[in-house]
Amino acid sequence: MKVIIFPASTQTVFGEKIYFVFSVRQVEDIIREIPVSPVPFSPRYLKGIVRWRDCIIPVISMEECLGFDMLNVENANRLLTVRGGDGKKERAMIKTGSGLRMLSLPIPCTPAASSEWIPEKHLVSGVYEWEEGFLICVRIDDILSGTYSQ
Amino acid sequence: MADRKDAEKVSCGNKGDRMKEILLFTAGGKHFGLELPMLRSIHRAMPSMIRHDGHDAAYMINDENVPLCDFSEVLGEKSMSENTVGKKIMIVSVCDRAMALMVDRIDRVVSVRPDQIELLPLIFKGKATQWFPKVLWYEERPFLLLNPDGMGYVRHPVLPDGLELMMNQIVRKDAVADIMVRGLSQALKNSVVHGVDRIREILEGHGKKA
Repeated sequence: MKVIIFPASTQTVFGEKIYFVFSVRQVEDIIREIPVSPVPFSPRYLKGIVRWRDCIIPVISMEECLGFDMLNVENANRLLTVRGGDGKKERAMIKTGSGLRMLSLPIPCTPAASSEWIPEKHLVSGVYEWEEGFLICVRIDDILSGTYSQ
Repeated sequence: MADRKDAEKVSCGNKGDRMKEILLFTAGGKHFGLELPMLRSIHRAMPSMIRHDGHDAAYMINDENVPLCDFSEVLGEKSMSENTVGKKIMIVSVCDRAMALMVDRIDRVVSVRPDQIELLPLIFKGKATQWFPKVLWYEERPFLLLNPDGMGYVRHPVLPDGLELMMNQIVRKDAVADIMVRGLSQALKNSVVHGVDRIREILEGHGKKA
């Protein structure tokens, strides 16, 4: 099994970088940035909507969704299309910059002692200490279904 | 979630369904649409027809004050109420009442298939979906379809000062409660007096018999 890992555009935590991790099966596409149309009255992490393969899907900042400030916004010029698990139709595009990598499991990492430093930790299913920083697995189904929309 | 998917089938329909006419307009530099049956009329925005009362505004149409919503302002743009040059007023139906929407520009009416209209993704909640539950993708561009009923914007038209004050006093909950308590108290007192009188009559009747 393979995973896609990409760095979060946030400040370091305890001197470590933060990375997001998704299963390859969840990632449907990686494209250069396309025009995003904002939707009024949306929370800050919802950047708008785009049309992708005849579907209207939201564009989100995963950093801001988890309550972090997003740094280097201008460098976030890639969009990663992810979908929910178990064949769910909901999708979103996640803004990201460079540094995307595909790795094969297992990755040498251990569960982090705490996730208290994540403002919206209820949206996280796991945090791991990895040789390059913290790996965060998000509850993408809950995010896409709007269960925890702010 | 299932409810919303069911609603999608009903509201967005299939390719064989009848075409929908959508009025496209622009406000705050963004593109929007409105299903034509919700539109009553369109007027050129005239500053002399706008009345302000605190945060509320009204637009005079046919000697009637209609609640006014400056669309650019509610979208977070700077209020343009004072500068109405080139702007348009759309009178729309909101819960069977009229509301005036001031927009930057009326573009055109387009006829679209129902399947060109999609629901806003589930991740959007609250005011975003109440105001814009659907999206039309037309000519490589999204148009958020305004749902006037979801705006919750209709308020009472601006009333003359004295009348406004009286209305405010009438709807004050504590004043209404006070009136009701006093009414109930009086009714209870009348009931007790009547009961005492009746008891006295009965007792006096028994006394006479005795």
